[in-house]
Amino acid sequence: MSIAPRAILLVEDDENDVLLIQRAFRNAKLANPLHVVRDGDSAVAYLSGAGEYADRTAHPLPELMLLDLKLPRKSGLEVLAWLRQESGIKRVPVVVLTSSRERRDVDKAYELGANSYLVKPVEFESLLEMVKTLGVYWMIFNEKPDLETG
Amino acid sequence: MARPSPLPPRIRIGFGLALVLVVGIVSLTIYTTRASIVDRDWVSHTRQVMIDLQATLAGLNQAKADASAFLLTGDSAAKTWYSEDVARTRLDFDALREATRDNPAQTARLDSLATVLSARFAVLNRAIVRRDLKGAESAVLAGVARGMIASAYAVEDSLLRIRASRSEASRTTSLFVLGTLVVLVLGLLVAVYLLTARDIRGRQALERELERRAADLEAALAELESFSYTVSHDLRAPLRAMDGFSRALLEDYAGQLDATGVDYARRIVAAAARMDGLIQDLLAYSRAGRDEFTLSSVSLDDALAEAARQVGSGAELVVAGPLGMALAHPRALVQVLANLLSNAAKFVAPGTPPRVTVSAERRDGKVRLWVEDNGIGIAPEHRERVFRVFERLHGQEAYPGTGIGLAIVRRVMGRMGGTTGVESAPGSGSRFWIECQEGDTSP
Repeated sequence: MSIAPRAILLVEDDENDVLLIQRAFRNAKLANPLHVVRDGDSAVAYLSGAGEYADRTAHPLPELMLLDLKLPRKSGLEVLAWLRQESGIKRVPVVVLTSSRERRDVDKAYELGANSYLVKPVEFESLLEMVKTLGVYWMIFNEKPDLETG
Repeated sequence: MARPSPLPPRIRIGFGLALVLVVGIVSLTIYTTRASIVDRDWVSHTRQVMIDLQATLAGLNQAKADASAFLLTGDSAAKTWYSEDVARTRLDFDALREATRDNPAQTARLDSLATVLSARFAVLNRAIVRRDLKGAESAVLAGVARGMIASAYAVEDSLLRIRASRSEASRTTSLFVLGTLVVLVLGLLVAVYLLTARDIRGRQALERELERRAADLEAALAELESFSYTVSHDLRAPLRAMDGFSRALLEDYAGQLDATGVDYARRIVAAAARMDGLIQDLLAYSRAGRDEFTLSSVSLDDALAEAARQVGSGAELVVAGPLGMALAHPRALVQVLANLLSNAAKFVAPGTPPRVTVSAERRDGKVRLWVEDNGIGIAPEHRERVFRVFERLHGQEAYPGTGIGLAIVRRVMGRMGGTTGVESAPGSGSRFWIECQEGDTSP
């Protein structure tokens, strides 16, 4: 097992949100490298190590994925459904991070195997709080699955 | 309670008439059959009378023949035959009189014939006793008897013709009436069928129209759903950017901003927060109109406790419990109570510690929950306004809020078949109430 901080994959198409989440990560002093992809297809490519993401040193398999639902090309739910069928990486913990709190989105996400569902708050302070909690919970307390033998 | 017929009046009248006609046809058939049996009986009766007349005439002739044979030959057997002929003729004649008793003219005629017959047999008897062949001849009496029988026969014959033709005529009339009735019934049934078919076509058209409207409604609802999805997802993203980057300016570039710059950035943050509040409230209100509320028995005491926990206002809460059970959707009821509680605790005059009193009142299977506050009260002309969306009576500075809480209360209560209202006067607090069906009180 590597000693380096574990990678987190952020799937988010809104450039503002990316900047704000990155800033929240900085302010929360999370050392985990945050890799960003901006649409569903790229998320699938990154997770399967295809194309430009073939180099697992530059683009390591994430130990946590933060997934927006409303994405260009492939929706977050589609990415989630695909991931849960992929042997080898299907155990990657997925935290949905979206602005929709519609019942059907929440229910569908859990049905497809999301590990957690967070609604992006409008206030930055709340976002910062959320990111801090996220780091503590998923990167420190949470027991990781074995991603190599799935 | 009698259920009204689903058929329109014209179809019902048509069926009723057809039924009456069928009953008429059956009655007429029974009547006609009986009448024709009576007619046939009369015809055969007349025929029997004619046969009896012929038998009487034959008996008379036979008696004369047998008497002559005895007088010619002296054969005693012929004498015996003669006696039998007389007895048989008398029997036949008695039957004849019995059969024509209903006809006075025939009876009178037969009375005369009886006299003539008796006279004729007396002549023959005397001739046999005297053994006088010549004395047996009595052309006059025989002729009279024959003539009488012939005229009685002619009367019966004409009666037979009349009775036969009358029976025929009545049969023809009956058949004609029956035929007419059958045609009428068939016509009526066809008319009723056509009316029913038209009625069903009308109903089918109505049904299609209803289906079309239901589909339209469903489409409108789906559109509304996608609209609120857009609102919840897309409209909030720019707000997040406004808030986030204003804060980034305030925190990361604080040294480069003067007091006015800091104030402006803070105003952006506040405006974004306010807009977010409005969007959230609007979505909550829209959800209250769309969600399915399955009703069950809910403890008002439990719901109130949960609502008070959610609101967590510093208000003093007095509950005149137990409040009992209500027929409601548990989560929606808690939301309604939470909105009422926070509303009650909010609108107090500055410096007054808020106090909320909750009590219940049961009447006619309904339960009314009162939420009473010690707040600033509402003027009568504003009482209905407070239940409208985004309707506010006070400025943001005095009492912050979007003005959606009571609108949601009214909408949710309406969706659960309940009602809402308020009694209040400025300065003396408000008494808000919600009312719904009482729940099952048995545990």
